[in-house]
Amino acid sequence: MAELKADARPEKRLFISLLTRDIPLVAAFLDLLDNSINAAVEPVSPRLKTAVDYMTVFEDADIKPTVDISLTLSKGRVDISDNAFGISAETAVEHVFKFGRAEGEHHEADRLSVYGIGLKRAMFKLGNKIRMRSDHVDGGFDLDLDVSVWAKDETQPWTFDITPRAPVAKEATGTSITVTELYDEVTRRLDDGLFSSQLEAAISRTYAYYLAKFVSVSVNGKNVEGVSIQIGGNHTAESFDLGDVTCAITAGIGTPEAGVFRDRSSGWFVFCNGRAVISADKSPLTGWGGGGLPIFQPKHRPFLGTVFFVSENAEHLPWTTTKSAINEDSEVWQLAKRHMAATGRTVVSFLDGRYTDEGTEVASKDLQAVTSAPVSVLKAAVTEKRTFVAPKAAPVPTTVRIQYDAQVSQIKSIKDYLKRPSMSGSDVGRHTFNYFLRNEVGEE
Amino acid sequence: MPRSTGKFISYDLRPAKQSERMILVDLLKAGGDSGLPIRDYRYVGMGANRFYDFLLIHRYLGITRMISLEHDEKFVNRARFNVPYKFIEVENSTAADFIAEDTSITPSVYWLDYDGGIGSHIIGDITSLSNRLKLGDFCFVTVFGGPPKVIDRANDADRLVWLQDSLGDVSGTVSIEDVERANFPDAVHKILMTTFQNVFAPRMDGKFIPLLQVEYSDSMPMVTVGGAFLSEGQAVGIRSKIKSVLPFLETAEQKLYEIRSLHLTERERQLFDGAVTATGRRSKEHNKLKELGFKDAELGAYKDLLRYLPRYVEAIV
Repeated sequence: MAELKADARPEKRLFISLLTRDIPLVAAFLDLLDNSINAAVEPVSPRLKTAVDYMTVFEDADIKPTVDISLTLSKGRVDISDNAFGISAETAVEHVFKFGRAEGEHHEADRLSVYGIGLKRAMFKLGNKIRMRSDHVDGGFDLDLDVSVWAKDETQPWTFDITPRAPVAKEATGTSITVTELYDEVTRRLDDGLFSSQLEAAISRTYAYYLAKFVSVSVNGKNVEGVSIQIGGNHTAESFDLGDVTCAITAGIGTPEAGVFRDRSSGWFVFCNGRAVISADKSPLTGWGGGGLPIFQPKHRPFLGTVFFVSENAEHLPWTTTKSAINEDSEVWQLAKRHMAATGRTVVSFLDGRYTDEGTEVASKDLQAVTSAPVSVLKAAVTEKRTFVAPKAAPVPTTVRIQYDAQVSQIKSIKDYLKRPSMSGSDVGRHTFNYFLRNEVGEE
Repeated sequence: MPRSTGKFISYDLRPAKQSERMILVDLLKAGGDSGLPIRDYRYVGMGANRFYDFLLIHRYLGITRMISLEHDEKFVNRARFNVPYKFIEVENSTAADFIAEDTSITPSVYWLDYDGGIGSHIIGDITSLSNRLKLGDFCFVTVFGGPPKVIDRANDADRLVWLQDSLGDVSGTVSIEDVERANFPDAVHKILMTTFQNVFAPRMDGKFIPLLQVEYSDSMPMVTVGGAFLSEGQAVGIRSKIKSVLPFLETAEQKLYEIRSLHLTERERQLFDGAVTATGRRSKEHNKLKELGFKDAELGAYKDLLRYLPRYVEAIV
């Protein structure tokens, strides 16, 4: 029987460092957006249980974006605000600032809020001074947090001091967060010339589904449009369930832009509850190079595969806590990976077969024609089980084009010999070929 | 590759190019006036056969350490024959190879004056230079401002796809409007500015300050972007000098200045000289120019470039 108790309390400084070290800055911003989007989806979340439900809601003309999210990156300061329903003081006290969820704690309406950690991690990642204000019909709150001071405070249990705010009308609800005293690495990254456009691209790719139906997002005043991914109508589709997770997989031929199949639109795209988790993956993670598919090569660039995981309990989905990567060991991912290999194989074999010793059998421009009219990947994901039908190879050609270089002087010698100075180079080639056929092979 | 203007207009008659060179010289002079020992710098350029930039930089700044990069083996001998000063070394090397092998610790001015359009090799050269530049070094890049040949006949959407796929994230701020033929210098400008900003961002020992953002056209659009890698104190000093000497150059924001080609007769130039240097706004020269149909914007442009526009006269050498 133990007689002493060893100190095993977490150090806040280490805790913050561990929490923020593993998340890229772009993903941290997406974490902030997840909270706002999750709130925006709340009214319809009871309707979102399967991939088919996501499609039905997507096609429901009565549902239109109602929440605006504004993200402003300025010198030494980050602001994010939304006009969603806000957070009540009561919810803030009991749930919002708790690191992680208690066992069995599950919020029916959550679709993108998973582990109860993203908001805090994102704020900690950005800077030292955090001001958060939320207005709610039942009364909101203000938070004014100096992270460095909080980190030194050893009081147990950990708390944030919040100040209640009066209830507001439902048209005036919303939440805003301002982070100042940004950390040096954050400042440097925000000022590297690329960050803003990379963030816009990530938002566009990650929330294509939500941007169309639930929210509008602006970065530094510029509205971000969702990126639309389309797949050829001739594709493989299948699905499976594991517990309360449904998974729909499709594989086919993507859509070329400017006449080319672009790297950014090729490979596997994985979505969890409509949010893109990984995009255009061509690595062993998704089965390329040892997981049932060959090592990805440029000839596979027309390949497009999508995996839609959906669950009412977002924690059962195979995303990591950063939601920018896959938990490779999760049972549902392992199962999905086997299905992905089987689904993708027909398409990959077809693409491999485009190339023979005689050259390219199906030109890029003809690929779309053989794979029929493209449809949105969401629509493809909810179609009945079907199989990609590899287009029949073109008939084996009966002629081969012969080209070779010859010395001009030698061609002239032949023309002189034949006393036909007006012969072209190709005439000389054809004449000598026919001569060989007649005299050496014996064919007329 | 597009044909350089110098290949079909006599190299001596490129007034906008000459203005650009003079502006760059003045900018370096401002660096000297703010405390940088410009006279002791090394100049690395692409002098071709005429070495006009080398001549100006020596004449006005006194620089005597000079290297001209000539990547084409066929032209090296001719370039060496034409060097105006013995202290100019002609290196048969691409910018990429030179930067990779250069170990000099001498403070330097690099001017990578390309004939061709924007491409990944240019982004690569700027990236390589970002590791090489020392505090106080200058770097300028000149690029053809039109669509590169490979996308010259493509439509706008295809041009944008090509830029995104060939150049990656540095083309992230380029819009579909920027890639229209008439606006393409804006696309090139954005790409170069983003590249400079991005490749120097990890350097903790200083900051890249953009000092020159100009476009000009003697017959084809060209864009020059560049600046210096400076400490905070150096940046304050040089910015303040440039503001007084070259007030039309923007050093805090992304703004492309157009060196306009005004195509004036000598008699008109005399009127312009008088009009833009008169104390009152309504001088008789000003009134005469208005009468001749010239606009205030042209007078403004002339005022900016008064000290830089060349005057060409026939001479017997």
